[in-house]
Amino acid sequence: MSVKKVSWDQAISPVNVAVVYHDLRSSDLPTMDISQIVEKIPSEDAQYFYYIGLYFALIGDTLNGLEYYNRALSINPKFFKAYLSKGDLLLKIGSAEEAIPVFNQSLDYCLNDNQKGLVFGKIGYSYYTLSDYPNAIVFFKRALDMDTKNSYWLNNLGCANTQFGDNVEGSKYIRESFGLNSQNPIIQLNHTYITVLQEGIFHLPQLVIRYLVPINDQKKREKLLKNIIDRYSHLETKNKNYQNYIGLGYLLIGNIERSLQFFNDDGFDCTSISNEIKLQVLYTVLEYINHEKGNFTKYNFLKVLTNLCGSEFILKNTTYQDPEDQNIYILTIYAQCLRDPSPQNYKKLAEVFMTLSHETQTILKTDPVFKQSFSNITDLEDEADCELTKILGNISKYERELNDAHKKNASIFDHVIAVYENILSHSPENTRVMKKLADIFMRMVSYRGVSARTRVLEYYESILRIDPNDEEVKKILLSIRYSSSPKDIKQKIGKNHFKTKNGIGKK
Amino acid sequence: MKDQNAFLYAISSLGFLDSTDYQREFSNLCLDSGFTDDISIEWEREKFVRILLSLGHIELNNKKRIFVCPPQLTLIRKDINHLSVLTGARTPYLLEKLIEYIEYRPELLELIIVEQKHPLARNGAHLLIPDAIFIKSKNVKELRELAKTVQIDYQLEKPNSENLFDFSKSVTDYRNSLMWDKRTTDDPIKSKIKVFSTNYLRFIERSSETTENQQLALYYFPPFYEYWLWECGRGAKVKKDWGRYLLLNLIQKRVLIYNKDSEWLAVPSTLPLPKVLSRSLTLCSGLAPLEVYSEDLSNYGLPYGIPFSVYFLVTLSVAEKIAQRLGQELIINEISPHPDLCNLMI
Repeated sequence: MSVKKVSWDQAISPVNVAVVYHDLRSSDLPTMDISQIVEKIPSEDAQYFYYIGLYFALIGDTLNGLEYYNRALSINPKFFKAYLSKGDLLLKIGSAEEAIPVFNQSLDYCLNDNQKGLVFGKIGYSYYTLSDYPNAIVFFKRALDMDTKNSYWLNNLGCANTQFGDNVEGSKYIRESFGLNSQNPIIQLNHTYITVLQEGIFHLPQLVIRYLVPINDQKKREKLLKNIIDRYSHLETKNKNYQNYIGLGYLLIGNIERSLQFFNDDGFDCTSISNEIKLQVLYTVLEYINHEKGNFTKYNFLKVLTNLCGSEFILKNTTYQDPEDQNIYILTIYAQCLRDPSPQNYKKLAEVFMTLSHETQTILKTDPVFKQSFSNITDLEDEADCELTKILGNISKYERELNDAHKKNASIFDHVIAVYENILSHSPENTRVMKKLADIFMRMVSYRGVSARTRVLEYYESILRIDPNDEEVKKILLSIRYSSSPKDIKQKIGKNHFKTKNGIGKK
Repeated sequence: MKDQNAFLYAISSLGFLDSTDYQREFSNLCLDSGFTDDISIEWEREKFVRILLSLGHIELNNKKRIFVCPPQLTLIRKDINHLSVLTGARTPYLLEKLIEYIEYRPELLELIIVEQKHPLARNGAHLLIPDAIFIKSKNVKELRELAKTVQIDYQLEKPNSENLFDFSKSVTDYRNSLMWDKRTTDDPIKSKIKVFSTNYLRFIERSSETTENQQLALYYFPPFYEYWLWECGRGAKVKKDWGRYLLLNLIQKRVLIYNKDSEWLAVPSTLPLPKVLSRSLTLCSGLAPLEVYSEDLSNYGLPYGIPFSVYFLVTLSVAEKIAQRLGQELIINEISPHPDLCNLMI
């Protein structure tokens, strides 16, 4: 064929691309089709077999990887790199015992001291993974003899010594390694680890905050936390503040159940905790709460969380957008109530309660903490009404005082409308709420005109559909339909048509 | 799905594009991604121009106006077959004519279209780099006839990457051409915005790190930006590309990685090559360099997680010449296999 189209990776050869990713130690190898390459291997090219092995090793196909390395070695038994890569792959699948003889074989084909150092390092590492620390120390020292300023060998020697129980010697080497290569993330972590080992007994909060929080890897976090807890276990029953920090540690690794056992009422000395960490803790808890939807019986640690983060912080950093996430909003208000048990907060909680589904409301009503906080949970709706009455009262004041404050008024109305529309979404036949909404839109007719008037009509018509005998609504509807302007409507209906001393719409 | 050649077709029709128009149209014509939030558009925009420059499709003037180069058939390799690549302007009509001509001579000519859909690292986006159009023939006469028939220029005597080498100066030539007329006592510190970090291989905010004798600094003298290189109390105004390599040469830092077996050369993307050298390297394969984010190369004194531009089909002699021109020594055959690091946390 005289014209053909190929992709970029086929033009370069997927194997060559794989080698690039291997050599630059990148883990983002793109998906490529290697089938054509495998078919075209020159039968006597060890190098080619080696690179295909490398490709399979990179994509995690161990069996094919080992097979191609073996083929490369059968063609060229002096292939130094193939021995090392084969050993690496064996190490990767946890066969360190099999890797050691492969590395030993490669020693015969080393060309210089650097290569010898590399092989000794790999043998040492194999022993290290087998927890044979004395042998690991021997080989790491031999590797270091080949290159005394190699940060990798220094780090490895430090690790082997530390694991063997010689923290002093271990720290010495790791610090030296860190001095030479502070950019390497693993050396950084090991440096952190030995610092944790050597920190004084009074620094537990700092250990959690300074070292545990910045680690993103969950496994590493768990490992470090275990170390911290082992070291400070004797303090568990004595220092309540420290217990809280251990609780925080468990919270950070996602073990909420365990964290609950440590949190207590003593509160945190949280002056040194940054907002970033607070956020991290907050989201861990929120995720948990959301996962355990509707289960509000495990909120004991909320007090601790509220102490740690502060209610304002919680509110500022959480949003209530998706009705499915209402637990989050309830939680934040709840936390606020615990922190600041003012009537205003309870009213807000009551308002949010109104927006919840019937199912969640039922669960909440049985929650002991809720029961304790609200002496009479059936009053919640009234609480919400009171709050709205207050808001509407304020709006009337604005209306009187400010002629051009429409925008401001509108935003306040919008908030109220959102609350009621949420209630309606859960109980679509709630005529009481519809009347409230109609009343609110009526107040907006003067500056929103026809759109608000339409909404008023819609709500009243809906009420009539549900209850065709509501004479009061029929009358209002008639008067609206035959009124000529929004002003007339207002005059005919009157501002406080549904308003009573207990709220709106209760006659 | 956007057309890989959209930008090249557009600029081929227009002849040139102002930098403001380019900035405005970049997302439409040069980037294939629904989610541009995770991408540094500025970086990708600059990268795209660099790639097209090195592929020989465009040229820039002082005001950063982009001009399209005239279409040319350029020789890449000469072994059993002569392999040439189409550079410069391109229109669908030109391609049709090429295909039509080649289809009449299937035994003499072969057209290979390589779709250069390089992934941008760490997200699913693609830069719409124009397809590489290769034409293969057993003898150069056929290629010449083809160029004449479709009325395009040709350069088929010698592989063009070699030609370009002759044009390129070396870091030593560049250093000798500098005017070392600035003194530390006159250093306008208040105008100094950034300095080049040899640890991170990029410009960073002014910091205490750069108190050494050698320093490359960016100054802002409104409305102009200038790069000055300082060495032992003397300073000279330099070009950004050469300045960086000059500084690395002064402190003897190696940054170029070469693999002899797979014949590729990796250059940190934060250290773009001077234009002629980058064009010369690109023309070794005729393909745009691949961007790969490295991970831990700290053992070689290179920063963690930097992007590399990887050029393919670069022979050892070419790689050595490039390194020599840049005052560098290649990191070669040391990079693999990797040593292992023990981790106390695992």
